[in-house]
Amino acid sequence: MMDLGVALSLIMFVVFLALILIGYNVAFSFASTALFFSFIGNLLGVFDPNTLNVLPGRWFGAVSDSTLLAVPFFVLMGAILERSGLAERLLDAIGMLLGPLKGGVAAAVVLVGTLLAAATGVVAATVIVMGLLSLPTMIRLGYDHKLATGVIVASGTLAQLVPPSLVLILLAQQMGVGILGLFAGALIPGLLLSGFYALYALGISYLRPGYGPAMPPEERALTGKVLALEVLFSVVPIILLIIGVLFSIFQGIATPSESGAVGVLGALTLAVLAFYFDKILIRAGATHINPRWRLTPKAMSEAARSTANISILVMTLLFASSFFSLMFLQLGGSDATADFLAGIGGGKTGFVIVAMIAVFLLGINLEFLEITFIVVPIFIPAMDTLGFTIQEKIWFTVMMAVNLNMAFISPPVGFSLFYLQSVAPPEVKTADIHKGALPFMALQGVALILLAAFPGIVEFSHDLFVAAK
Amino acid sequence: MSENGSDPDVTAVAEELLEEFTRHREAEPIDVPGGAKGFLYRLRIGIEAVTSATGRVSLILVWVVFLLGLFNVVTRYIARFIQQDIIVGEIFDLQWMLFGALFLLGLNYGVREGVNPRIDFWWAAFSNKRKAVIDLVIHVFLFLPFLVMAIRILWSYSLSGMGRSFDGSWSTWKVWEIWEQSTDAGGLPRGPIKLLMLIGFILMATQVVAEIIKQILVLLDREDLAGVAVYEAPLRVE
Repeated sequence: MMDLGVALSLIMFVVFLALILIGYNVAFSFASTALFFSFIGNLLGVFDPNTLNVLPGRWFGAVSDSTLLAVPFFVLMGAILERSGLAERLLDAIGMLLGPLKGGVAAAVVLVGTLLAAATGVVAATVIVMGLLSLPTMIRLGYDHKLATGVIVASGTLAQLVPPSLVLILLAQQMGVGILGLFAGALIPGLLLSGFYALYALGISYLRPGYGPAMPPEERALTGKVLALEVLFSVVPIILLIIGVLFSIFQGIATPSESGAVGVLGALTLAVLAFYFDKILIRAGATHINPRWRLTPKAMSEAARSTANISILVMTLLFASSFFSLMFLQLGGSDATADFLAGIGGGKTGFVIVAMIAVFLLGINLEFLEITFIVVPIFIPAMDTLGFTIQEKIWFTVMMAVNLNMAFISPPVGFSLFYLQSVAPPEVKTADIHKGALPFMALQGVALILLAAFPGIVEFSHDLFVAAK
Repeated sequence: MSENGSDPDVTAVAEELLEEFTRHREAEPIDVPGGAKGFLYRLRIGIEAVTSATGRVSLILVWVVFLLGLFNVVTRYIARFIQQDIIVGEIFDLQWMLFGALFLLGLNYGVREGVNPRIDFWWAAFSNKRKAVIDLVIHVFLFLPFLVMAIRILWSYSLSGMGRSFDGSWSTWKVWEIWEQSTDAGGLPRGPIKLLMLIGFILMATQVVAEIIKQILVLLDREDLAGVAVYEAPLRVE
């Protein structure tokens, strides 16, 4: 006979899923279901409403959490780079640089996806920008549609994994592992995944004629000195900015939020400098650009708007989900799930396998925010029971992030696929986008298995970047 | 990588698309009727004027938080350099408090702009009326009661943070003498930010009332008054 409270908490979870599936606002669904079940639980005598008085303290804890202070800075940094058009220039320059190779434009998309992932950490924006700019080019050059679309969705989704990413900040906050450690642990796995993508794109273009033809000479708008300058001005500064931000976090020179603040300053500076760089390019004989002031009031207010929106979104979800997880805990659902997860058998291995399957299945329908706020609080008690160390938690969290990447491009409902569909030219069939994602999902699966088999990869990455204390 | 390099139009298209993903536009009503519908409409417009105002404050606070963050880094660096403490504790506290103000004053704005995601698997195919029914029922019977509960429990929490004693009396009109002090050395008082939590939830509740009005107006066949002719698409942040 199941305990009444546990049964209620499971029903609560099902009702929550039902509410969000009919399309009710996710954050509001959290709060609404929790309120309803606190009422029912009180009627049935399994919940004491006085417990609700701990909520303000929890909310205040979220408001004063200095981990979350990193959110607005990193979002703002990325939004400035994107709204001022620097992200586009980056794609342009790398495309021209790698275009002459077979499969080169696809490899450029991977490279830019990785850099934008690090700089912006926002999947929707990255996929849309790359879909608008690179997809038409690749189609004109005669790339296979499946390769062209697959590479865009896969690289755009890297934003979830490559630090400094919003996903990692929130996962760190929920897991209680520290941003620094998680960033460091995720860096090499992220680069590994992007290396897989690039090798796949180049490899298949060489092996199968017609998959990714080289850019013919007449398409190469930039050559020689102008190309070199373009790379110097559009690519190098962004790479330096990212390295600087990550380096200062890893070396303990600055906290993540401080680095974020300096990163914003860096992004603003690059947006200002872009105007002068363009003038130099024109003087060097470039004809492909039209120098304009990048840091327009519109770009700045749009960037602030994205930042405010995302901060509000994250905190609303956090307020609502902390009520939900409080109810889940009070009704006994957390303990029951933890006992269940810890008692699957196979100890940590069994737990990791079940957890990964659960995250993948949820990830197809939900986005990372919901998963982070629903699933992680449920996992933590089980992980504590099983005796996960901080290192192991970081490893597990990185695997979760890779897993979410996979869920995000899984046809037919992965979110990245929708973003690309919304900007793809009409000759690109939806079926091609879906089929195109499959090889990249396979690569992510390989990465996931590698990480599971060799936890040392994450540990190595962590120890390599974090200065010894 | 279009032939002529970076084409400025692409930025514009991308911005439009992102806007489509993130915002809904309001269609101006042709005529405002009298009676109950007119009253509801004017009430909604009134509430949303407040929402817009606090939303603008949020946008400004983004830059303030950034500048303060930068100032914090600089003072920390200088303090290390000259080996003397400057005003680090206060600045750090002020920083998270202003970030708190940013999203607490933006809670209502977030509700209106639909920044919180929906799963639009089935939602996208629903008619506006069905959407309105779903939202109306859950808003009225579950979400608004949650907000009322939250405001009730925050009320005593926030006001005691501001210096109200447990029997409900205010021992002095100079609240800043008795409001909750920070436990950290050099920290700022916690009272005001706790009060902002209460204010944030109250603002959120007012905007939810405005949302309920919108849904009633949609069900009364006055979508033009509801300003939801174009229902918001979900925002996906990743």
